[in-house]
Amino acid sequence: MTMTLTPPAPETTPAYEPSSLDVASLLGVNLTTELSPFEACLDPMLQAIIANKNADFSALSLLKSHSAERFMALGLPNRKHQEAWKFIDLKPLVSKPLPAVQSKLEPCRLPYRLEKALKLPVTLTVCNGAFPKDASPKAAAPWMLFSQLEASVQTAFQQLLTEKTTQESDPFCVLGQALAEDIWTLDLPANTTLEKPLVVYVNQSQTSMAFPQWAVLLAENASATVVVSCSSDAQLQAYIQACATVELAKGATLNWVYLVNHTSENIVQLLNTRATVHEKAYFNLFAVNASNGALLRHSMEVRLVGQEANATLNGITLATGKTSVHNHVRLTHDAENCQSSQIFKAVVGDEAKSEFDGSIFVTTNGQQTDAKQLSKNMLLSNKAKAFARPWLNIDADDVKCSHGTTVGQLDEQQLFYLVSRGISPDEARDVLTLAFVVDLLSQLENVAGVEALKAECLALFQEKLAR
Amino acid sequence: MKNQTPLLQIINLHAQVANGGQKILNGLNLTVNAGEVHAIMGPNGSGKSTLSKVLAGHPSIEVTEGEVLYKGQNLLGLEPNERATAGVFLAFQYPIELPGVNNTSFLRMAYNAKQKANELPELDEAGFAEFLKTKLPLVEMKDDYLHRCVNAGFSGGEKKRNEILQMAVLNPCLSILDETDSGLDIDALRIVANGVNQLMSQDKAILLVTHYQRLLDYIEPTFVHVLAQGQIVTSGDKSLALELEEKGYDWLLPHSQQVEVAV
Ligand SMILES: Nc1ncnc2c1ncn2[C@@H]1O[C@H](COP(=O)(O)OP(=O)(O)OP(=O)(O)O)[C@@H](O)[C@H]1O
Ligand SMILES: [Mg+2]
Repeated sequence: MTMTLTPPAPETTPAYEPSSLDVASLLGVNLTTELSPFEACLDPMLQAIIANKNADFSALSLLKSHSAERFMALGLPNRKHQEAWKFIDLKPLVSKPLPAVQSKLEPCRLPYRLEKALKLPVTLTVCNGAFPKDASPKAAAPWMLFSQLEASVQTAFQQLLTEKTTQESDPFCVLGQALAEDIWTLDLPANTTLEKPLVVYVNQSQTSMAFPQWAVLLAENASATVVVSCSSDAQLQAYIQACATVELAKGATLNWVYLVNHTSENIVQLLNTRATVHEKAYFNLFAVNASNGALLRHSMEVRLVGQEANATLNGITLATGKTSVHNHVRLTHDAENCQSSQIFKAVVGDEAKSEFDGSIFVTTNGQQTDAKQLSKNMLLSNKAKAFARPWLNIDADDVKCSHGTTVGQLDEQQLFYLVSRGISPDEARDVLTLAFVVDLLSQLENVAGVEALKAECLALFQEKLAR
Repeated sequence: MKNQTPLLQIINLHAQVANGGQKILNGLNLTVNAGEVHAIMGPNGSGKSTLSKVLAGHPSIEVTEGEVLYKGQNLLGLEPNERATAGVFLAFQYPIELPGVNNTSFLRMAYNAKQKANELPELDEAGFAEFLKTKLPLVEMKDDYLHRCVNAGFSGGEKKRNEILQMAVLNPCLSILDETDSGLDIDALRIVANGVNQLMSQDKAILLVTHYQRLLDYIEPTFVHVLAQGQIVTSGDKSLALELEEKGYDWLLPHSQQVEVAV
């Protein structure tokens, strides 16, 4: 369906209601028993961060205290009043007592399959939210691929992140930045192309909170592929708040691939992807989730701010058990002749839940916008749920926007065709389930390390289906 | 007759659309011995595809009465995949498209399922590729089709050829070919018929559902049956097909219950 619409303008800037998190209590004035264990745990930490600002004026401390203050101003989201959080049950996060951050590095579950079998070397390993302290990992180039914000005062990053924090409306996003031990940066000079993907392996091996943060600046015509693979050991409980802030200068290309595969059912992972895409730059996000975790929310906010900027956002979700997966997209066309495409596919089984909430905003600057959005869902059981909530908010008059949503089940005729050839009904179901999502893998075609990535995705899916 | 037990025995078969729907087969009887080709003809809507589906175990049709024996065993008691691994194969009148499922992987899965069920060695990717190469010439199929998704975007004729390729890979004992000829061009018809003939042997049998005498010029039937209103109303040798070509079906139908032929 292709259509040009001027829709009602719902909630371009969601109004923030006073939340359940009382700022006064956060400041330690009134620590009542009504605070959730989560809030009670955060309170002293945030206070310490703000206090530290005056003692230590490092770039990181300033940014962290700024983020802590921002979090207090925003407060925890209110499901009743904030559309974006309506379908999200934060109970697994706020009701269970959460262990404090443990910065002690524990050995990770290495070697990792991407590296071992697929020969895609891991560039950086993040254990329990902590980046390696010995600065530069195996850098394949003369410049530092990832560096710590603390290591050198990187004002460009500090400015960028401070500005973003001020505009940020997701409390968890700023919370992560406030509590992060460090922010890892990738700063690629103009006209540089990284031939090999940078693989970041985020492994959770202990019960704790973890706050991995990235900031990526690609200068003019630079190009890179970053693969972030998140996994965790069985059974442990964790809250992982990860954020990637991306700034792409004119003509730059960034492929960002997320492979999320937690085996533990007690993982809450809230992901934030924030990208600003300038003239003729291209941001290509591919997010695969085959997690067993209790809750995964991936909030993607992408702004196309230069002419002919381009963004592709694709997601594959395989949700089973009692998992709840939420893909939230806010994609803004704020310049002429920009293109965007979103395809999100979800396979939902057992009692799992999947939600796609995607908004396309076209400002008055966004003439000749070409925006496509598609959410396709397959339900494997009658207790599984899929929600799709597409929004179009268009303030320009010459735009091409299409969106569509499907929710279906496995096709009986296709199933019969397979079993009539001797294939067992279970295998036939798996084959068709995989078939539903694998065509999206073709979107990885021009990405460095594509064969390994495809193989990894298939392996994740097959493991997931076998569970 | 060398073999005492018929390959297929259908006794007083009654079937209807599942969940109490329309009655379609009304006491059908048919015996097929190894080494025989049985052509089944009959007006549109007379129940030919329904019979094929019953034999393959399609869930949309339910059997209300009667028996089907395959090599003397109760066929209806087997799951559809068990029937296939036991050697029953249905070439669909309307083959199904499977977007996202690679044709070669599909063929290998089917082949290995059969091997496994019969406790025979399965083939790995490389081994199967070699094996498949030997089967392609049977249907004169280009290997382009192997890299594509099963039937997805295939032309009508290509789909039919792909059905026979599956037959070649699975090497079934009892093949039910439901209008495999329709949709094939003149050359393709000859090629596919030759393929089927090469796959036929003394220990196998074919049920050939067709509307056209032309196919029977290539694949010579042992018997020709006319199915009307859910029963076999007459049977004969291949000359019956010629007679039908000339006279149509009218003369075989009781006048009061003439079937309306929808075109
Ligand atoms: N699932 C179904 N639901 C309702 N009616 C059905 C169903 N399957 C078959 N029928 C009906 O049963 C009758 C027999 O259909 P069938 O497909 O067996 O005919 P056929 O002999 O193969 O015809 P053709 O020569 O056109 O292929 C038709 O009237 C058809 O509409
Ligand atoms: Mg038919």
